Amino acid sequence: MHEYSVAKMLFDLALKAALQYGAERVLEVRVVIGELSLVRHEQLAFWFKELSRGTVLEGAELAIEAEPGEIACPACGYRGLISLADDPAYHLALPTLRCPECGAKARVVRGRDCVLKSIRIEKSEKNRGARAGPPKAGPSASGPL
Amino acid sequence: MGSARQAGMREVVVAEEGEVFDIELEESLLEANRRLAEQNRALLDRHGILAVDVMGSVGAGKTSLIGRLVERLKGRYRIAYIAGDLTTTIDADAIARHGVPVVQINTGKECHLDANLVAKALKRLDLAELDLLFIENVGNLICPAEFPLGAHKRVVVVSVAEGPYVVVKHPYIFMEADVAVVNKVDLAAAMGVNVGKLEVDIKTVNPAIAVVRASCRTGEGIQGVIEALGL
Repeated sequence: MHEYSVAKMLFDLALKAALQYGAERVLEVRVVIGELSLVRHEQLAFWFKELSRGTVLEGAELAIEAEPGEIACPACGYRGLISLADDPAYHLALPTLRCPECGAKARVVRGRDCVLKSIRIEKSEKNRGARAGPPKAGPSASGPL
Repeated sequence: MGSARQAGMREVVVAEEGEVFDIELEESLLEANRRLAEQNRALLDRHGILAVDVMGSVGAGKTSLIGRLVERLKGRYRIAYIAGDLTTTIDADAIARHGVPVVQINTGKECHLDANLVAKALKRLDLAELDLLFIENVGNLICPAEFPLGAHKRVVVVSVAEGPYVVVKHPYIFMEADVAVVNKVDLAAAMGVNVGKLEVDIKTVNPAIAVVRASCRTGEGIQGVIEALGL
């Protein structure tokens, strides 16, 4: 897949959220990449880092979690990881929508999407007023001693 | 994370400025396209138009297939054609010769059509005057799978000229499709490709897909495609 476009979409969403919440700096960006989305993690991380240069996202850690592909069969109700068919002719395991229980066509229910889960940001004293929601973590600064 | 600065001879400790927040977002990347695809679909349904998204490799025979289908169906349906290509109007021009309205989308460097581009193309057509719409995707067996356009049927065209491994190397697009057309079967012997094995590969990936063997050049199998699409 084209990791650059995915990285760009993630970057745009993360940047928008960071600016909306008045971030001085973004410390971490958590994403979930579906196994069936065909996105390679290393390339995604590379492009994300490139795009982040010169923005509040620069230096943020990109934490990538993989989501396995899961199928559900409307015929027999089976639900489980995507099946792989062994093909001795090609010596490979081929992903298939065939239900392992009844052989009917199953639907993909998980693993196709890429989701921006959350970002961890740092705000400065002067940006405090721009906050769009309550804080979840971190100490409060109370001014110089 | 405190810091210190010099003020004259004395070091002054400054309380930390930063406060750390976790912000939950749950933003799906493909959701935006999916929503637009649903809108396209609703618009087509309102006008009673059946839309077919034709995908396949570069040179597999997408335009040839659509040309054959338009030729045979234009007597029974009011047809329009939307073509997606990086550049040129070559495909739109070819289909326009059949006397149907055409819209060419130039995607620039984007390697697939998306619902947004199709929504724009739909604005250029008089939907009240149409029953059937063929949308030809960019030549690519990988990316279009991720981007539904809002069509009712998805067709993948593969040709024997792509060799025996084309299906197993690109399973995901076959999972998305309702009909697979194995094209250029008249060249199978010359290519040393076993069409039966390609068909088995396709059905292994997607047990519910309809497979039609065809040669758009000779006209073989076109009726089979028409039936598989329910037209």
